[in-house]
Amino acid sequence: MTPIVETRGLTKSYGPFQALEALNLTIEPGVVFGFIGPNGAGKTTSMRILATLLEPTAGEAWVGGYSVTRESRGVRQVLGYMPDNFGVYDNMKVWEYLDFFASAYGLPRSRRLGLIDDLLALVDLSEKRDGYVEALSRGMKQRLCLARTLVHDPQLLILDEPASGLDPRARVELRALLRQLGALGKTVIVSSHILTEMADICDHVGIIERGRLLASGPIEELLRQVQTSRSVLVRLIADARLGDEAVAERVRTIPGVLGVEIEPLAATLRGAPAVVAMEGTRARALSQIIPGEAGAPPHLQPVPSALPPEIAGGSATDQRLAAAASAAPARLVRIDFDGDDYRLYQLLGELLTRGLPVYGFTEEVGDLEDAFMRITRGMVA
Amino acid sequence: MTAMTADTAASPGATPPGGEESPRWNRAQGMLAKELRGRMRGPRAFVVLSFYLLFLAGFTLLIYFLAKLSAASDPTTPIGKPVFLGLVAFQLGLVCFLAPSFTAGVISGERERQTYDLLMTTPLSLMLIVAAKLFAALAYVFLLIIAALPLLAISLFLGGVAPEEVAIAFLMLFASALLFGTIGLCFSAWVRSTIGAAALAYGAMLVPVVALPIVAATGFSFLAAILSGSNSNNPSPTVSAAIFYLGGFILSLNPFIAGGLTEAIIYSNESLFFFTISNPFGSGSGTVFVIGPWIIYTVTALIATVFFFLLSLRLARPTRGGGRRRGTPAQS
Ligand SMILES: Nc1ncnc2c1ncn2[C@@H]1O[C@H](COP(=O)(O)OP(=O)(O)O)[C@@H](O)[C@H]1O
Ligand SMILES: [Mg+2]
Repeated sequence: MTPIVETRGLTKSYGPFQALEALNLTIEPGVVFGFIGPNGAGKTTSMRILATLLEPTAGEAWVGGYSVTRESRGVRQVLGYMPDNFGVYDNMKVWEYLDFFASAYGLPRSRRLGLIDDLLALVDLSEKRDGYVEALSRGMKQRLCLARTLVHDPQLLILDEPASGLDPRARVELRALLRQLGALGKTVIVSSHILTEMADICDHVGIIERGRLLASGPIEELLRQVQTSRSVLVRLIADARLGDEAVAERVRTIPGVLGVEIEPLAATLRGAPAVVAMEGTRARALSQIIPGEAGAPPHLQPVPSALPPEIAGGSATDQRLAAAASAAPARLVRIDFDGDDYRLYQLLGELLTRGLPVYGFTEEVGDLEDAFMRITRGMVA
Repeated sequence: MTAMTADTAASPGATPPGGEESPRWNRAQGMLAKELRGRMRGPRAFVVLSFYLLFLAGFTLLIYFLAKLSAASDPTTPIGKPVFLGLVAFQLGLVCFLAPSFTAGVISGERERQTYDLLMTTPLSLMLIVAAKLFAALAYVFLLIIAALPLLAISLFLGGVAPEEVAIAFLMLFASALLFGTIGLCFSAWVRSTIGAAALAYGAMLVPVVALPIVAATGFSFLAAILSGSNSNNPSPTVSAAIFYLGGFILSLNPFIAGGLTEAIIYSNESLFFFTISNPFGSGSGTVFVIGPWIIYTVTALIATVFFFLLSLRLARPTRGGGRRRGTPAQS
């Protein structure tokens, strides 16, 4: 597949200041690409070059196979661009606004009117059709501008921080719209300095900082790259007969295990400060676990009935376990593990075979923010 | 959503079936409609036009009675001439001041409102955008000129005015509108703010309209003093002819002076286009050729119009300079 966007050594200087340093970026058709970086990283600069609004100091870029510097007309047919800051014409009605841009792409009048209604329906502005553009709210203007970028059915959309300045509700609506566009098969490049905003809309991300692309690729791949090992959280019900050392010993000898950490779960529950003091990622992981256990923690309830019959079986051991549960704290075991999904399945079997009272087994998936922090930290060091 | 997936992509470049308009026509028509709508929408344009005509009618009446009063001693003097000259001078002044102010915002206004980028990413050519904007901005000025035609017709009826004079006046008015309009356009494309562009455009307009006559008057009197002081004889015919041609050309760059000189030529019953004067600087000084000053003004103005228009095209490119917000590094 030929990439829809390709940049090679793209560089932009504003006087002595290098806003973009040798950017090499490839974006395949059909992906929703998140362009992530802090303010001043060079996102807008890159996007404006791709939109033929800014000439690069050095390097080349192609959009849909057209060179942005030499074949700007071709690029403009392929691309719909929404700037970070944009205005609307006063003295213009919503439908006239879209009609003007549709005519700018050479569409005949007969085709324009139906198209305008379709687009207004898509961005949920049908009832504003005859209103004046400047009377729209910011979120509505944003959606109208998005509709405007779609009038010529472009293959590629470049949206520069479309969510900035929107209230939470408008943000949610915008994200739904972006997902819808992705589903229509359009390639979408959307920039943001807010990472969490991107994770569930984008397939691919590129991380840019100080004019340099630090990483780029499918989100999962990027996360996997950053996370060299997998992190598994195993929850054990309380068992007074097992010391932390014994648990650690049994886990450590399983093939593929790189490291083990044990925390008392109940203690964490009681002592809130312990959570606060923890590192970001772990705190988040715990906060995901804790809500379900607050109130009536399952390990403090009669355990045997909660266990599946194969394991529990109503034996004497379980009676003892249940008795012990009330005395000792439950444990959270964090396992650094190297292996694929099948090995992970084997790990679970092995934990049970070795007599560990497992009642929770989850893989901790690092999030984008985490990946971003690791990538940028690696860059500075 | 079906309409926008397959339907719209095929259009550019392709000839639409069923004799529909071509994409190029759609672009031009859409751009012009947008520009004209922005200017003519609402009652303002109409109200201004009405007041303008009302004022002009009053002005005409005033000149008419003044002329009547001064011509009371000699009732045979036609009073069409003062009415005509007064009307045309007023319109010329109006064009000089309105044309630059109407065009000074066309590019800078889009930049200020942050709509320019959106326009620039469409396939509309810069040529079409700038031409449509210039036309729409000047359309109103043209309307004001043409709307005064009935009043000019009155001066024809009053006598003493030839139809050629009216035609020449219109030509010079349109040429002036184009010249000062493209000057405003040029500054609008060059300067980021509309206010700055308007100020500079007025400054540029005042050069031929106000500064030129003052400079020329002092220059010529200075020259005359030098020539008569240094040499008791008259200057050689060559020098005189050179001064005559250069001075005539420079003076013709001012529309008011060019118009006045044209009137003088009409008064002396010479050809409006071209004539010769024999031995103007004493016997044996040869012949000088005189081209109608209105021709010099109109042709120069139209050449300058083309120049400023092309310059505007260059200055209006979005990629010119460092991009948006020149001078103030972006904080976003
Ligand atoms: N026209 C300009 N002149 C000078 N510096 C600029 C200009 N535009 C952007 N910059 C600088 O280039 C850097 C990148 O800007 P930008 O691409 O807007 O970043 P982002 O969109 O990622 O926030 C910033 O440091 C900004 O100050
Ligand atoms: Mg930006």
